[in-house]
Amino acid sequence: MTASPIFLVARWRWGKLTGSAIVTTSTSQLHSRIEASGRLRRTLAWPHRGPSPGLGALLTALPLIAACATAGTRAPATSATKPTGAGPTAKPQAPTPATGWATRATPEALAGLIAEARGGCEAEAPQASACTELARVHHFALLAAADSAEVAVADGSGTQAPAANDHAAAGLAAAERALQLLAPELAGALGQPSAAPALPAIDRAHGQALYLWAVHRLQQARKDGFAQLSLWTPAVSAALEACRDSDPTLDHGGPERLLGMLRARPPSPLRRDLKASRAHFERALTVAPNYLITHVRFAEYYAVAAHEPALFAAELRRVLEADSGADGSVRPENELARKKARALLGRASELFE
Amino acid sequence: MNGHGTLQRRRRHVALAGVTLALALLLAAATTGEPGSAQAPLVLKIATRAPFGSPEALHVEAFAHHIARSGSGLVEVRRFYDGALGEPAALLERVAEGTLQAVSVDLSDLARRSPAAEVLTAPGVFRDRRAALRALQRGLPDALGAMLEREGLVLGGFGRVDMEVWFSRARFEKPAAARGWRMAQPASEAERGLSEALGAQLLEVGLAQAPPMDDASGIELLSATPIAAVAAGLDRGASHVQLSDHALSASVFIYSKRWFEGLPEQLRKQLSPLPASIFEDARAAEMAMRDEILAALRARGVSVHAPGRAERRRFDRLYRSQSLARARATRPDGSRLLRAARGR
Repeated sequence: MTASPIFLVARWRWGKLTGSAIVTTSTSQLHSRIEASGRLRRTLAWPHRGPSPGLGALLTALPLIAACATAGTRAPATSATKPTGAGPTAKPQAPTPATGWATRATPEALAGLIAEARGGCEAEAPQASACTELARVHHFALLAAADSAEVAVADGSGTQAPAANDHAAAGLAAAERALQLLAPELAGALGQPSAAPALPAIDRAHGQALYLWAVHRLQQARKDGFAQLSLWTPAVSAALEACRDSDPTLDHGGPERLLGMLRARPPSPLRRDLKASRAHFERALTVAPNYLITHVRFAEYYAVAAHEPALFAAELRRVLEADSGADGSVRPENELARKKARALLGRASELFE
Repeated sequence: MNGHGTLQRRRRHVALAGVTLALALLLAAATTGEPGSAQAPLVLKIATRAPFGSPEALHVEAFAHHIARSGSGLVEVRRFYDGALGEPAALLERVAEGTLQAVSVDLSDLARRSPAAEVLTAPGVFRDRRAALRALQRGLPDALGAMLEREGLVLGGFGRVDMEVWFSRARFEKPAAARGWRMAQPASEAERGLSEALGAQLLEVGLAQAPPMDDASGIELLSATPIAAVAAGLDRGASHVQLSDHALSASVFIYSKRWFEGLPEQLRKQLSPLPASIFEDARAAEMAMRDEILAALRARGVSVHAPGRAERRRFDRLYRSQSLARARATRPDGSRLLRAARGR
């Protein structure tokens, strides 16, 4: 299936708007290695639906959130003695068992992590923890792959399924499996897009799986087009609010960060609430002031939607001037945030009048 | 004699070449002078409050694609989505002043500035979407364009075109059923007239603040396109959808007259009227989205029904009286628009 010129232009434009070229290294290597390993099934053809997925930049950011999720509550052993880069309310990071998570920035390690988690998630007696792990590893892989997908669209060659789609679909499947194992009632409530999902009480222990579900679900809906995005947004918002209420420090203020993005750019202008968006971002920054991705999102979503160029520049300069390695546990994510900040600053004249 | 004739012919050729060169220079000056030039493409900023990926945004993308394709590099279109440059009323004001080149706004937003335009969104003006599309391509552009020109605006064309349907808590098959039902504060006079004619009870807040239908004190009836309703979460608690297609919901491309009149003639022709063919893909995508949304609502257990002839007839009289009332209230422009909409 070939996309029409409008949709290609729309997708290309979106890529330009969002500065999706965050990751410029190793993306194709990663993709080819995963492909070669045969560990990842291509479950979706791309573009498998007509229209450009909507909601602009919000959704391009989901891979980054994925990275946040992966970096959130399970830091590598090397950083266990350091502060996480989060604010005063952030939880201390628990050391991760020898999963090689610290080496996630390399394609080989990432492919290995996927294989390892997949083994546990798809075993005869699947483990919820392995499925959650698989969802978060796919998130990081998605972050790395998103760039190549956008490039493929921009140069008109986006007729084959890029790795990003595989990771989104596989990550969602893993998160859904984790929820089914951990909280079947919750998984059932989120099985269909509902205008008013009635979520049962969230156990704090299920927060990460639910959060990863929300992020992957939104990414998948975005890929499926504006209608799906509109249909799924209420459930995703409800899930994020539940995560926030259960554990606001999850993923360095991730639920608040994503809610801030959703309030700045919802599928309908009727639901845009810039005041609420700003409050969400500020709460996320209170939880983790040194987590650079939140500053980038604050600039990219709130400052652009509110047309505040001074805030936009200030937040992005702060990211560029910060020491991304101050917290080793999130160094890869902070490095990505810096690249994104640089790209966004370069497009300030395009985003503002 | 032959030599003299040859000389005359040469003189004529030289003169002709001179005139041609002068014309070419004049033409070049006309096309590359104010306000654009070959070195610096003319920038056309277009703003909308629609989110990227939405039906309206797809039409803005199609518009930009058309300009890029036909403008030969003369024009650079910069798009601002999500209300980044402000709300529709402020955007229209800027366009009229000439500080913004173009906007894509809903007809209902345009009606807040130019009340007569509201006639087009009144119920029953168009039998269905096909009839609306026909009118939007024939008589209406001239009638609406003339009206806008007096306000410092130039009509480019119509973008997304959809029809509103009824979402309700209980089945809505005859106008009398809505007596006493709660509706949100109307956003326009056309909506107000219809709500009052139905005998609905109006809440003090608009749709954005109104409690949803699954709230005991929430709204019980609303008119919206399926796409807009679901995108805004207004379908929450709705049990029924009557596919009435009773009112037009469309977006319009509008330019600043001051800016437009400074453009080279060739470029003006490309911008107004916008050929309907450039929106074919976007309109198909919009209808596909609508079908997808309706299918999802059905899967969710919402009863979606198309009114039969008898049911439609029960509403038609009410709709007709409303459209006439709006036309009378905003004449002469309103009456003119209604006539154009009905192909008279």
